[in-house]
Amino acid sequence: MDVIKKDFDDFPGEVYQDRSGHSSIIITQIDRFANWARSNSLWPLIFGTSCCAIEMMSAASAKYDWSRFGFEVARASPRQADLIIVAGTITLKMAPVLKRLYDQMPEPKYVIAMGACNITGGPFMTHSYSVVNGIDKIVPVDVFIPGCPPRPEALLHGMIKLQEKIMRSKAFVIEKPKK
Amino acid sequence: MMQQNGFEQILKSIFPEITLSKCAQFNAIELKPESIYAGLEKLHQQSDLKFDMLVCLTAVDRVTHIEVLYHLRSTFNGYDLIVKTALVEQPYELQSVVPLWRSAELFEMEIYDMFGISFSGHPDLRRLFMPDDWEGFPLRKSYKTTDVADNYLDSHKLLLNQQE
Ligand code: SF4
Repeated sequence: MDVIKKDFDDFPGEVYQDRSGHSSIIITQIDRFANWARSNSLWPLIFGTSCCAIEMMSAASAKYDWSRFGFEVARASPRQADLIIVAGTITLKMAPVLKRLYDQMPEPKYVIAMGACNITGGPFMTHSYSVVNGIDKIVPVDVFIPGCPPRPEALLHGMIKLQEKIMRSKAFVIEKPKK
Repeated sequence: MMQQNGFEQILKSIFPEITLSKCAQFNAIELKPESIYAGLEKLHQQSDLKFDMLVCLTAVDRVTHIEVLYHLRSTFNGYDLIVKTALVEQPYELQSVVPLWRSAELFEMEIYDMFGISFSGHPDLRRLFMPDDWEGFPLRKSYKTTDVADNYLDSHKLLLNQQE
């Protein structure tokens, strides 16, 4: 069969098509293919606890429009989401809730810690009796985005970094949280 | 100024031995903790004053004592007044003013949560902001915040290395 190679920039593999255009052949690795699909359709959980959530909403809205990168299907249920953007201060009272939401998400799941509060406790770091000093104490974090709050561009940058990370991971090995 | 004099006279007629002081832009008086309810009731009922609104109820830890402040407003006569009281001895206790102002309910829960003042006669006195099993009262000056957050996570098995 006579085939010609087609150029698809972001497809991870090679695509061939016969002269009539009817049948195609794809040569790729299953890992790369699955990662490509996963990283381009991340469904974030709607989860915002304070000021950072305003920037997250802004990133979702028309001006910054995170649907351009495949994040548009924000879900209100953790069972349908595979990404949790922790946007806002996590207080001690909220910590068990965050943990439960994370546990309810199906694998593979990813966590973005947005803002200073989630990295170290931020403005509440030293003398607070009520704030978790860094959510990486309770859930494993994939990407940290510094700022108070980070601008929507920074959030998009962090999410693209997460996509890159997914592209480099093994698709069918579910890694346990690192101890 | 006329109004101010009139206001002072009415107050004097209710509390003869009171002195009117200034607290920021407001007039303030100080009452004894044991007579606070009776005093506030008079301010609430007296037809010349009619303090029908409790704007804010809060407390301040002055180290030697805890000061409780009632910010009152009369929407009929346009008066503002702060009533202060000082609690010196533990256990801190006051009579609840919920029967006079319904808005006191949440304020008193908050003060109980943060300062540990128990209000007798409150319909449902429990913690408002802190978790129900929290120990200690965080806004007291004597409260130590070192490691409390980590200890809380630790005791509730929320830390990552405690999960299997
Ligand atoms: S990092 Fe700053 S903006 Fe974000 S939740 Fe914390 S205080 Fe608010």
